[in-house]
Amino acid sequence: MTTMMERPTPTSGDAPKVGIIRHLNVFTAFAVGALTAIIVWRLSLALLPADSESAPLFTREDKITLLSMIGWFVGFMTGIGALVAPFRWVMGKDLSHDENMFLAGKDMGTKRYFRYTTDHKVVGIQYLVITMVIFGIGGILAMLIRANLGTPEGGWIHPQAYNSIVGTHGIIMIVGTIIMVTGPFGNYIMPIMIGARDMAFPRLNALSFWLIVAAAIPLIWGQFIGGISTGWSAYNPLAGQAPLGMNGYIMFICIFALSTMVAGANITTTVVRMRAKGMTWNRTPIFIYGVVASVALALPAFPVFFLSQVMSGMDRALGTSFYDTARGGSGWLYENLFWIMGHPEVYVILIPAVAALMEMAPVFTRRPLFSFNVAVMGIAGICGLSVLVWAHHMYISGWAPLLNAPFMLTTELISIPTGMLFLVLIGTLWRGRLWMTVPTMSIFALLWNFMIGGVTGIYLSDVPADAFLHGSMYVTAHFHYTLMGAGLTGALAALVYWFPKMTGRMLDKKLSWISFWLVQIGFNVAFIGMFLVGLQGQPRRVEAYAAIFNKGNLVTSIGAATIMTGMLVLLAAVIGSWRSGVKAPMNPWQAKSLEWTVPNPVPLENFETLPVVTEDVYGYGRKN
Amino acid sequence: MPDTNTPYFTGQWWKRKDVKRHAVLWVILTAFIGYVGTEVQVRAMGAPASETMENVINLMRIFTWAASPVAAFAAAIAIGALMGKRHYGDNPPPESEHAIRNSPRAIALWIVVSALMCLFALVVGLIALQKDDARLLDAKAIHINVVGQQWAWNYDYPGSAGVRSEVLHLPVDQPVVFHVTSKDVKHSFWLVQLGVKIDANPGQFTETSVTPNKIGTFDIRCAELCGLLHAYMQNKVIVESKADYEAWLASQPDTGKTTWVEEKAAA
Amino acid sequence: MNKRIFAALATVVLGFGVIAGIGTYVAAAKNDPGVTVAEAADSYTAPDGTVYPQVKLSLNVYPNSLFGGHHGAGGGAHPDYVSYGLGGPNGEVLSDAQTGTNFQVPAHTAVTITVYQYDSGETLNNDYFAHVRGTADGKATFVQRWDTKAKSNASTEQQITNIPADMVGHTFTIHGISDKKSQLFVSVPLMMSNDEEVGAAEEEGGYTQFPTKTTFTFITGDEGEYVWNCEFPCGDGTIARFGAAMSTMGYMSGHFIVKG
Repeated sequence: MTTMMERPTPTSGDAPKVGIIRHLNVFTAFAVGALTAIIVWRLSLALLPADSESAPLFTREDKITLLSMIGWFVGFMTGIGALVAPFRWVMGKDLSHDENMFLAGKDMGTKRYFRYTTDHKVVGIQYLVITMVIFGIGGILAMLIRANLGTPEGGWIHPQAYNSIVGTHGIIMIVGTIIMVTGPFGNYIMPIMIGARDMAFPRLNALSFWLIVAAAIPLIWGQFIGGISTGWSAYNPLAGQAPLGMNGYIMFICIFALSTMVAGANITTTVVRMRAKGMTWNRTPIFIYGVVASVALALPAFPVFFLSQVMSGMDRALGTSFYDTARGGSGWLYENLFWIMGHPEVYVILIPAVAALMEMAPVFTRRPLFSFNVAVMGIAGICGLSVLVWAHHMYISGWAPLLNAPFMLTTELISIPTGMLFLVLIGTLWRGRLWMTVPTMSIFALLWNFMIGGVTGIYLSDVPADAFLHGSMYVTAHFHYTLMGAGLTGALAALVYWFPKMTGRMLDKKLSWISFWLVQIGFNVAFIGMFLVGLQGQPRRVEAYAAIFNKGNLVTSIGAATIMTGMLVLLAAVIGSWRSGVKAPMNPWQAKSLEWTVPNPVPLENFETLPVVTEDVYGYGRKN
Repeated sequence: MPDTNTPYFTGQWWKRKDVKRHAVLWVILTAFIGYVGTEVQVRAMGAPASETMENVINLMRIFTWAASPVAAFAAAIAIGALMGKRHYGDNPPPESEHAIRNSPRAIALWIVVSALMCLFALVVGLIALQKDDARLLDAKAIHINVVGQQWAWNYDYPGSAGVRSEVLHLPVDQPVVFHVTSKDVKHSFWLVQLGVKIDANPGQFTETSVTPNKIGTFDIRCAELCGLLHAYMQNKVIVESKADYEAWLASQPDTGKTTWVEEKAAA
Repeated sequence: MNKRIFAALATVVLGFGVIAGIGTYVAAAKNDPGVTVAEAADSYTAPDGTVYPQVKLSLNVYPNSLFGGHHGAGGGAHPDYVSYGLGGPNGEVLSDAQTGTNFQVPAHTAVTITVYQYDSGETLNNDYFAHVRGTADGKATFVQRWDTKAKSNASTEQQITNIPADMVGHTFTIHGISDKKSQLFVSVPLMMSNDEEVGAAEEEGGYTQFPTKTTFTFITGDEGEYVWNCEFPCGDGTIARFGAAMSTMGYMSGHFIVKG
């Protein structure tokens, strides 16, 4: 397929011969998905036996819900056309050249964004839009949380609805931050940056995106059948007790885990196999390392998450007892499985965002990246250690008190490679001449936020201090500082930086500055307030609290509203600039990496002739 | 402008003006971050009511002061960069006059220092952890069973005449070991001002211990989302003198007995 | 450029509008049965001789939520959930009753609650809640069979401090958030009804004629927001039987506000 795409045979003047995939798009996908779900629902309603009154668990409704959701999933993927090529392949014929070109979105205009399109640039834009939608929904939920916490007694919304909103905000923001860099920029920019014409597996690329769309519906569906009242971690046995909406979470995670596995395999293969001639590992930009580290770390992590949810679903729908202590299971099993995914996952989020800023730092200081090797070591070190620290989330769970000391060791060791990333950034800033742009200031914002997130992480890594801080708002503030203060800051800088290449227009300067300051100031106000109520003793995930926490919560709510304002300004800037912004030159930042050597808009297969790389991309300044 | 084509840190580099400026900034910021970081956090944590909590507060102080030079170093360089030449406009500034890609000495120093800090944090943590663990084995300790269920805590006092309560009573200056369990889902038993927390797991007992050293009334909160009324799964711990505690135990009705007798169905 | 700023302002306004809209929808979806405000009507002399103004509440516990105006009746949500509800002064099933799970009572007042329990029962998972806790005299007044037709006791009235943990129908347990104020904690076990319950109020062979009757009085402290819930695991078919009815406000749990 790749070779075919590299050397397109000229098409004849006739209309291209394209089979059924011509008729499939997001609308047929939704229609087929909904129809399948309804058919499965009616069938299971009619066929499944009633629960016995004396059964310890009633499983019939869970069976019906899960089957209907699986029906939706299969129907949606069929309707979008994901199964056409595999089906043909089984039948012994592959897609025709015209069909491949159609899938790549050749001459399709905006329609290609609503189809199973394989072009990495289309997938990148699709990821960008869905990331913005996810952040929009997650942000609205955050505002509802803050509104309910406006008064100590809470009660504005139903407590279970509140728990559900907290859980949905959590999981949707986690998913949003996982895909926020590797999705849009990993798909759009990365192949151009390494001098490739497309990803290694273009169809898997389309698959990974549409799996996320397919996954979103069960989660939304779940909100209307009881919600996910367990928080994003969905601890069992509480998740076994939760309403039917929990099945939406289970399906969502299973499908999303598939998506990350597919994307991880695809991106890793692309980087390993398809770098331009001369792009040795020493000349590969640090951003590429960040993206590969992120998806490669997700490869071992997400199958575990997938399995943990399959078991959770079996407990609910088949009456098994993996996690039900009363019938021989263990909640600690779930905690272990969850955090074996859960801790690598925060680095899945963080590494590409920091790497993106490390990519930008030389551009905006006009000097080389300080110690590329240390940056690579730092990323590799974090990847290696991050799979060995999961039980620091379980210091006080009572699971294995004897393991607290070893896990404290691994957790504190991770500060060494993390410190290396700091060294690279401040080393690059040292005596550089700053070009004052939003990405430049984002580097400073990241240093500030990540420093606070990192140092508070040291307190939390310490077992006796964690015995006080665990489960309090302090932890919530801490991971917002790392995932949002560091992660999201990097992703927003990446948006400003690569927006000209992705849309062909510059992002509105004034509005992006306003947005930057609103978000950063609001963020620090909100989460410093949250640190303080945590230290005062406010537990996480409470819909009502003692009056002493009122002030701190008020501060947090004001900060949160400021963040929301800033993000809305950014939304206006993105939409306005995308439609009618200033046309961007080919290389507006005068950067040296390959993505700036292709014209705007980027042609279908990126490069007319594949580039040959002779030096790394950080050759700024006078050599010494 | 010094000659940038020679390595930067040569000769009497510490006498350079910008190095001095950064050093001054570093010292000031270290003091500022250390002081503000500890004071704000320690004040928010309030008065400790046990040695365990005093240890937690000390750990926060130690870690904040240990981290402040590192944070201040990054901050000094960042502020130094911001105070240097800035360039506004749509086109990039000229490229830097120097192109330092590496500094083995700086990198080695950074890694050694961060490894030492890591070791320091680990040792401090292990010492504190050791203290907490030793208390679990204290032979003088009294034992209290803690039962969490959706959405209330209750306690029973082995050795008493079957006394149980929903407000925890503890004698002051007396080591206590808690045996914590749950009837349904996971909860987390948090004695806030005493600085102790342990999860309550269904079907399992977990242990933690504390020696309260202040008389007063403190908070107990559930710190693990446990369903509908998780926010309300709270109550108090009353720490009182040994005599008051004994008096309270004696005043409690013997709850082992039942006062109810089955009624023959009346006409 | 000014057009851009204007568009940004419009986006901000629109964004917060959307948030307010969704918030209103979510808040309305709470389906709150409203607050029953109890007014002082009588006075009560505590065992220590102090005289308090007294308010009275009369509640029923049903095996399902088909009893009246709010939940299951008329095809509402969850007709199979067990449920508390406001009852008449003699345990009558009120056909127009809202569920009556949110209450407001004055501070420093004696609150006397009478619960008529129409549901059967089983074993508590924690016999702590088989005991009467936090009432003014440490006791509750109990009648095993109350005749709702004759409006009189069908068995002898007795003072109880606890009941066997394997004969509990439900409990009424008030608790709150730990803060500087005095804490209200009241928990009273409600004996199961011996007659097997079926159906709804209006049906043939509906709720039993002989519910158990439990009366207890407690003194409220300072103003505060509390909640109450049942500590008997009655959310059938869920883990630890604390899901379903037990995890939905307005059935086996509600707000208890001390105010005024």
